[in-house]
Amino acid sequence: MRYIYIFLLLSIVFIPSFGALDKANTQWLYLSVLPILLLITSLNKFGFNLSKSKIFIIYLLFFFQILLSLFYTNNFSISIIDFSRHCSILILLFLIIHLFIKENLSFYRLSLIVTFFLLFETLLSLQPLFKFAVNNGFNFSTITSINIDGLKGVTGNRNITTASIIIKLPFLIFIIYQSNNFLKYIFSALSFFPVLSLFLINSRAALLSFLTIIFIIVLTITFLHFKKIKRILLLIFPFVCAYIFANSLMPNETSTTSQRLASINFSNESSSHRLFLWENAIDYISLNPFIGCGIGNWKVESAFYWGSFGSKYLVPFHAHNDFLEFSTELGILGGITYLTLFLFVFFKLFKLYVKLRDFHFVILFCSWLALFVDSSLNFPFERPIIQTMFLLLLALIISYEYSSKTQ
Amino acid sequence: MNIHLKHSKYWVFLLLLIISNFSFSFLSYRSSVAQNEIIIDSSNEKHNLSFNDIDKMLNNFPNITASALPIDIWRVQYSLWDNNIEQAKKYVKSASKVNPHVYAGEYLQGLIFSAEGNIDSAYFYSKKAFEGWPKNITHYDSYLDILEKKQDTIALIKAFDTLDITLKERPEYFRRFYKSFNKIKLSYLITDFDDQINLNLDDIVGQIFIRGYNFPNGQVIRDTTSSYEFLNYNTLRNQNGEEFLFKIFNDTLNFYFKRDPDRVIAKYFSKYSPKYKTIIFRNVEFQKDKFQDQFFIKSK
Repeated sequence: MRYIYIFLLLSIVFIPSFGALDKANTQWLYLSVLPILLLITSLNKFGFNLSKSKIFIIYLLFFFQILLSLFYTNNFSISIIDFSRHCSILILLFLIIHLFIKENLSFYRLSLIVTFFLLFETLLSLQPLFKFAVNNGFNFSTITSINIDGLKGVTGNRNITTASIIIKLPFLIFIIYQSNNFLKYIFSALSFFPVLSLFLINSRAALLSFLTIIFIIVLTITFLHFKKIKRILLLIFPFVCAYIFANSLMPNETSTTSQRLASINFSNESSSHRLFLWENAIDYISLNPFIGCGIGNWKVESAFYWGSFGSKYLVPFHAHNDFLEFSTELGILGGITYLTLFLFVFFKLFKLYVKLRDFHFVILFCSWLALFVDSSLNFPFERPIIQTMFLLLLALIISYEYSSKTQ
Repeated sequence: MNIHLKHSKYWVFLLLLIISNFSFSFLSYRSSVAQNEIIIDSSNEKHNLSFNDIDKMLNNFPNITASALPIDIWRVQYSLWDNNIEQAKKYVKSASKVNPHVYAGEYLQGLIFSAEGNIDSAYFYSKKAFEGWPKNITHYDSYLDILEKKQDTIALIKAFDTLDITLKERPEYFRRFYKSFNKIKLSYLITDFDDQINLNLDDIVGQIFIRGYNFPNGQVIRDTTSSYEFLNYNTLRNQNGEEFLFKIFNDTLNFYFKRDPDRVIAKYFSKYSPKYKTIIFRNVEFQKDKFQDQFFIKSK
């Protein structure tokens, strides 16, 4: 049952827009329906001792501040919609934690499910390349230009696609690490595709996460899981192939992965005006440090800073940093609580790894790290596809934390 | 603290929470579907939806669009398309409240007052919209429209001056500024000359008259690309050095080619203002079927 439920949770990628202007609305609707399904199928099985998970307590504290913001929000209508989304996350988190605690979970099987969705998203992203191969054969040297937006796949935005890929990728790495016999070779070969998609889209945040993840994994295997050191080859080889292949497809040098990485700096233009967006958020926080504008209201308040900037009615909508955005909406305490949640999870995973020496904590650490980078540079909270991974990771980590205390 | 769903109070609470979440998510989804349909309809020349249709489709959860504009902006827009100004006024106020930073409500309020002929109120709101959200060219245009009506060049210069440098450099902004400036300037142009008399050869012979504009403050602007020099009692020379014959019949000045002095090539209803030393040509066809008054001022 738990695997079906995880499958249903991640199936959010299959949800079409059903006529909505923004697909995210349909996906949030789907997430609001899911708890009903779980309640019906697992009637009366739930019970939870809150004091055994500090992570859950921090999350509840964060949620409480969201609830509180309904009383001082600038625009209740916007806040109630965002509140209902946070509610859906909380309810699902609560229910999934129980599912994980009550029934023994195989991390390997769970990784297989996540990998299935990773490959599905990747194949959709690389669809233009496959179409090219079908129409023109494998002579890729004839490609003169690549429309990066054509690689956005199921999410409708290439940055979300790469974020979703990089958050899920550690689970595929775990499959390669853990599988025996021919399976490890098959999954190693399959890992070529998500990494190819990353290198073709070349989102700098995802590339940065990718390099850090590879560094952590190689270092951990080399020094702490030496018996499996040969698996590094199975990991690195497809990645190198993907890198070479992606570079050979790129028509000009400035769009290659190495150039994109070299171009990472902290100027406003190179960061899609993120510095300006962060400045706006910091300015607002400094003026409203304790009581923000209310959950979801930064979409409106941020417009104040954009009267002369950008085109026509273009509004920034997001601070491109969830910690800053929650600080503007809930006050500094709200942002700090959300940041504490992330940092505490890192700390807890590190502690659990030191205690149990289980490789899947490294995987969870890497996946959480990718989510953290995305939260620092984009707005994953608004994207249900990323939120399902947030939910899954948090539920897993809390259930491990819970189990470690009850044992 | 232990939470066990065996307790009915938790069950009821959880179910209520799930149902309310679903309701709000559904409202948000319906709003997104409605916006999609409205955007398609509004971009068509002919609108298939009426105010009543969109009013039914839109709910106020959330009360902003996918681009953070107030949802009521659509209600205002469709009310205006239905020529229901009173109804539009009602929603403009709520739109301003929902997102005061984009000044869409003020912009529409300005348009409504302008359509009603209430220029002072239109000025107040369009100025507010322009100053608050100048990057939207429609706000800028709407404010400049009002300034043109008010013939206020000082406010016009100030408006352009306060623009951010990135906006000043955009062609649509500076072109519109010059266009409005010229329009206002020309609206002050002296076109009625109280002292006008029929042309008299003694006033014009031996003189050069350059095309120009007289303003009430004494300012004279000359356009040297067009001029006439009256060489003697029957010959004149234009700015290109071409010579023509001319004759005055009461209030009409006739032009002839030198090689064909019997055929009139141009005929202008003409007057002369001794005070402004200006020859006035009325209803000159400057393009096919387009007429204007032209003024030629005596050179210094």
